[in-house]
Parts: sequence; C-alpha cells; structure tokens
Amino acid sequence: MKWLAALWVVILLVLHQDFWFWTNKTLVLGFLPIGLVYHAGYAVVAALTMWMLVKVAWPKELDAINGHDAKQSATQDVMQGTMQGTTQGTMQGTTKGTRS
Amino acid sequence: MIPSIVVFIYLAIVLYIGVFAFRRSTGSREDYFVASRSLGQWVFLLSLFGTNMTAFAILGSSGMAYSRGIGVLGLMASSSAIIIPLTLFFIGTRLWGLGKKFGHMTQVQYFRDRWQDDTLGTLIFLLTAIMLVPYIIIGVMGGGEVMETLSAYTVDRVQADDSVVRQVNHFVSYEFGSALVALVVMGYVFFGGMRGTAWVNTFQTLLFLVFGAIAVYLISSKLGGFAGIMEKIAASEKLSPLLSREKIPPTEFFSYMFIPLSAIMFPHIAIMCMTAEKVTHFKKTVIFYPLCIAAIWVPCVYLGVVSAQIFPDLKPGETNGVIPMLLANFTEVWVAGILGAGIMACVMATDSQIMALTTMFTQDIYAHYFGRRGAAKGIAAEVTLDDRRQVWTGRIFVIVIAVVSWLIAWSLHKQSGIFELAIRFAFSGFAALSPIMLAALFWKRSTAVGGWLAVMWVALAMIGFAWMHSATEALAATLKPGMTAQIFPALGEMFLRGKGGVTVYGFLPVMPMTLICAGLMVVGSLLSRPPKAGIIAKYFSPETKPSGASLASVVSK
Repeated sequence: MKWLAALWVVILLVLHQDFWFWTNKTLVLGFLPIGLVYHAGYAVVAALTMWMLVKVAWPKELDAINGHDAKQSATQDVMQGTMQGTTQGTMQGTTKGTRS
Repeated sequence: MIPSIVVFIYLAIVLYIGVFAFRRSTGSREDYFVASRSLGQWVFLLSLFGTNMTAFAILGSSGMAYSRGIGVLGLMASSSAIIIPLTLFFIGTRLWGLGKKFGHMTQVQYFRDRWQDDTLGTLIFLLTAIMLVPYIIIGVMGGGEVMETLSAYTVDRVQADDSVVRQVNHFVSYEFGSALVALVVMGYVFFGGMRGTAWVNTFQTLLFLVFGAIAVYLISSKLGGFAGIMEKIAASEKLSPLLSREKIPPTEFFSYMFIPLSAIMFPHIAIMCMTAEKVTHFKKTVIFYPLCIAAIWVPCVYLGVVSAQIFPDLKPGETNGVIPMLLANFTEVWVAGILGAGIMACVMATDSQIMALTTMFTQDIYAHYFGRRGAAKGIAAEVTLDDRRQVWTGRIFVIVIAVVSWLIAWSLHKQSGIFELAIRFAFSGFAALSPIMLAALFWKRSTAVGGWLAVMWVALAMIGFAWMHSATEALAATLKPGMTAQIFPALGEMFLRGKGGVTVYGFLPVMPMTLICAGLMVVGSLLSRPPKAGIIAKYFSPETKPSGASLASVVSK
C-alpha cells in the first residue's frame, strides 16, 4: 500500500506540469481561466493525497514520544552515554555538540 | 484615513495578544522559545500556515500575476500545496520528535550533535541567519508600503496658470508605517515569545481568510462581476497571455518545484514544528495546509490578473501594490481597513522570523559558547544556564534585530522589489540546504564532511549567482521580455541572463544548487569515516527512527 501511495505522489508531481494547458485561454464559467481552475483543483487533490498518506504511511513510532519529557530523556541519555563510554556523554553531545 | 485607523486598531490588538501571552508565560526558556511545546491542534495549524504567509505571498504573488499571468498559481502555490505538506509529513514530524526527546530547539543543535561537529553547526547558523535577515526586512518593507497605500488621499492643487494638478498624499508615510510595524512586532515578540507569536499568527490567519473572502465578493460586486473584465483581457492582444502560462518558460516552471523545499529549512518553520503538543497535530495540518494555500493564493493571483486590466501600465515596482489599490478603489472604507489589517497580518509574518533568529542566536551562539557549565562532569551548559538570562538575552536581541531591520528597510526603500529580494537571497539557498536535513534524518552513513561540502557549495553558489546577477544588470536592461543572452559565450547556453535573472540551461539556479548539494553530501559522506555507533544508536534507535528507518536502512546499504 505504501508503494502505491509513493507512486501516486510521483504521479501527482508529474501532473503539476500541465503542459497541455500551457497556452489554453479558455474561461471556465466565463470568468475563470482554465489553468487557474486546474491548479486550484490540484491543491484540493494534494489535500486528499495528504489524507491518504496520513492513513497509510503515518510514522506510528513517533506516537510513542507523545508526552515524553525531554529533560528526563536527556538525563537518561547522560547516563547511557557515560555507561557506554562514548567519547562525550550523549547529553553533552545533545546540547553542546562537539564543543571542545 | 479610516483604513489607517482600522489598521492601527488591529496593531493594538496584536500587541495586546502578545502581552496576554506574556501573562501565561512560565518564564522558562522552553516556554519563551518554543511555547513549552504545548500548542494545540488548530493553533499549530493556523500559526504554522500564518508563519509561511508573508508579504511576498500576498503582495508579491498578485504583483507577479499582474505581469506574468495565472501561471503564477502553479508556479508558486500549487507546487507548495504538495511539497510543503510532504516535507512537514516526513521531516517536520521527525524534528518534533527530536525536540521532544532530546530537547532540541533549533536545527543547528541537531546538526551539531548528529554529526559531532561544532564548527559545522556554527557555519550553518551563520548561513541561515544571513539568509533569514532579508526575509525580515521584506516584512518591514511590506508593512510600510501597505500603510502608505491604505492611507493615500488625493488633493487638487491649482497652479499659477490656473491648471489643476491632482496630487497623491499619505496620512502615513512609508518610513513611519514600517517603523510602526517593526515596533509592534518587536513588542509582542518581546513580551509573548513563541506563544505570543503563535497566537498572533493564528489571529492573523483567521482574519485574512474570513475577510479575504468578503473582500473578493465586494470587489466582484462593485465591478459587476469578473466576467466582463476577463472578456476584455481575452480580447486584448497585450493582456490575453495573462490568461495562460505563455509568459512562463517550461524550464522555469519545472525548476520552481524545488523552491518549496525551502519551507522546512526555514528556521521559523523548523522551530515551529517543535512547538506542537502532540505529533498527531501534524495530521490535520498536512491535510488542511494545501486548502489554506489555495484559499489565499487563488484570489491573490486572480486579482493580480484582473488588476492588469483595471490599472494598466504599472511599473514593476508598483505592481506589488495592486491588492491594496483594489481595496482602496473598490471596497467600502471599513472593509479596505480590515483587509488592510489582513494584509498587514501576512506582512507581519516577519514576527516568526524575528522569533526564530532570536532563538537561534540565544541557543546556538549565546548558550552554546557563553553558557555556564554545569557542576557535574558531562552536564552541558544549557541544562544549568539560568533560564531568565537566556530569555532576556533573547529579548534584547529582538530589539536589536527589529531596529536594524527597520533601518535597512528605510534605507533600501524602492531599491528592490519584495519578490526579487526574497527569491534572490533566501528561498533558493534554503531549498538547496534541504538535502542536508534529509541526509541527517534518514541516512545513517551521512557525515560532517558531507555536510561541510554541501553547506560550502550552497554558500559559494549563492555568492556566485548573486554576482552573476548583479554583473549582468546592464545586459538585462538591453533585453526584451522573454529574451535571454549568454553570460559566458564560451560556455554556450549554460549560464543565461534574462529579464528575470540568471538561469542554468534555462532552469532556475535553485535546481542545480539543490542537486549538486545532494551529490556532495553523498560523496563527502562516503569518502569519510562513518559516524560513531553511539550517535547512530541515539538517533536511529527504534523509538526515534520511525518510518524513515526503512529508507535509512536501504540507503546505508
């Protein structure tokens, strides 16, 4: 299913290049240029595409982080970094990069 | 005068929102810079969208449609309607996770730790800060222009020979208007921090969406519908190309798809991604984002084309004012005022940029280099640094950046179009940096060496294209619209100069900049030592790597 979703996204990106309307000056309903209508509709299809991606490709693993306390996590990282014997504590890495 | 008063009232309201947010503040740096990572669903969506709505989106888009036609919608808006939600979906959610799990507030904090390179982080800070400043200036410039346009009135003056000359005056000058905008933005960012900025952006987005629809209806009614105007445009040999994409070359249209990649690399967007309370807030955000874009851009582009018939022969510098001109001429004064406030709302998206620059300076420079060290070994400065010191450093920086931005906006008035300034200095550069973020998040094997090559390339390419652009201004002046000339005849069609700027084989510079950046990121990483196992474990453990993991594992093989 994810591959189909990815394929549709690629197709959608290709559909953005609507070269078939490049010089078309038709006025839809007498006042809307067809190129404008096409790209307004494109935005709606983009919204539907994102709805589909949320359904089939949502990063569920991130849901577990909801409510995660950053400070608690940072403290845990310090402990882990020290125990693992990394050159710099992970906490230090987290907040200070490779400051020497 | 009435529109100006309405705008003044609006400015007072947003200032009050900032002060109100200040009352809710806990005083911690986490609260001031990322609103305690607690924004709700709709505030997150509307403020994120409002953050991306700029003077450029309203004034620049209509001004560009005035001269280039309806193709501007596809060129700049519908491409954003798919690319930006995709980047929020794949990158924004990961940034949110990094912020929640490790306490990161800026992209640079992540890059520094991910690649264990302090100097690379500082280089990225400098580059992004330099690119962000023009964006802030555009907002201040736009504020001054809108205030000046909305407060215009005409006076008939009798000359010595009894002839009458109609003179246009303004209640509010550009200089005063831009200063007022800078002052108000400074005020609510100073007091309210990220929470105040998000609340103001939410209010601004709602205001524009609601009253924008009313204004389009009223303008249409006053004109007796748009059909008559469109028929006149279609019948005009000069204006009819505006109804199609004839004025936009296919290569330019295609390469513009790279520009929306800039969104996720804009510090104000990336930082905003870290303010959501829950990752699930991204769901509705990515779904509604394209619809919000359509709601704003379709009317702006359409009215830009309509203006070409109503206000013919405007000069390039004047076309950015067509929406305020329509409001002033075809709506009641109170509607013009409210819509003027709505436009001001978009113009004042500069608040997010000021907030982002402040967060970057405070976290990436001040706290990083001058913060106190903790007592325990391994406890870094940010953990024990007094929150109030950081918050007040940020507030002082807000004042400095607002004053400097106004001074630059004042001194460069009329010297550069809003759109040109933005596209030349910010959008392309930020878009070209996007492969760096993608590599950091999804490619385990990516290294600091790859990052260095990629960042240096983007910086040098920007300087190079800016030089080519300015060095060929005289050449461009001799060209007719649609014509191009070779910049270096020995290189053939590689570098071309047209009226709009420099292209590479007809494509916008952003395309080769981004692709080469990605290539250098890959080559530099593969030629250097792989990252340490501890860092890989930290950032690609099951809890943090999610669906990007599959991509990362594929690429790393």
